[in-house]
Amino acid sequence: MAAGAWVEERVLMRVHVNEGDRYDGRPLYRAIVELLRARGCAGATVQRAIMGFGSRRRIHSLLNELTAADLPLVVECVDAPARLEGVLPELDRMIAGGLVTLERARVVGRRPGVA
Amino acid sequence: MRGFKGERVLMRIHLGESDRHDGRPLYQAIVELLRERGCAGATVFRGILGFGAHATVHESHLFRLSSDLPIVVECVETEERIAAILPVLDGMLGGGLITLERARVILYRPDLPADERTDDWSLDVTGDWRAPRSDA
Repeated sequence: MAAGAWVEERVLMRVHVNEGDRYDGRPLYRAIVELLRARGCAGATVQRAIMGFGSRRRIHSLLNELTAADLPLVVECVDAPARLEGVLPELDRMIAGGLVTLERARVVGRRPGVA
Repeated sequence: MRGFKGERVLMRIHLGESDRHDGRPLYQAIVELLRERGCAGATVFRGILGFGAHATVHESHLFRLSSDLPIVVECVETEERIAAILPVLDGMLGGGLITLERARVILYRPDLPADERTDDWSLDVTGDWRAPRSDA
């Protein structure tokens, strides 16, 4: 491995919510991304699905105009287990219904500013 | 209300947007199958670029009405339920790819039974979940 590159064990956290979910007067997914940023997480990514269903069994789809504004979203964040353990209780207070999955991830990257 | 649901399988099915099954989009047929089989949920993502087994690059074009972009259908379920669904999927998929990963799951549901709730936030539940840090 070249100098400056590193391989480390991290956790990939994926938070499943809906686009229409709100927290404290703003979209929940935005609040989650801002929380992750405020806690010093290295990054976060929000993906919008085109179709899906959850515990309420209702299929939300881009092709259905009644549900097109409330599509499933996944907020992803890769970070150290200790940092995510600290974030989880805060997420707990924000999420009313949804799913969080945690997977092992091996991160290959390069620290900025290291040759 | 949250509950720690333990380890589950994350199944990801890769296919094409224009793949069809019984006269409708294949990804819709798969979502309906997962729903009928009692899966907890499913999510469909559309990629913006990709290629697959035929090495044809699929890309969205602004002025085309229909597209054939990469689709990923995701489902998090028990190993038993996934194993029961795989043979059915096998009969529906003409080409494509299914990946299976292990995932730890925290579930949020207002009606979660008391015996499934948890207050434990440790990720280190089985002891081998957290691998030794390479920089430790």
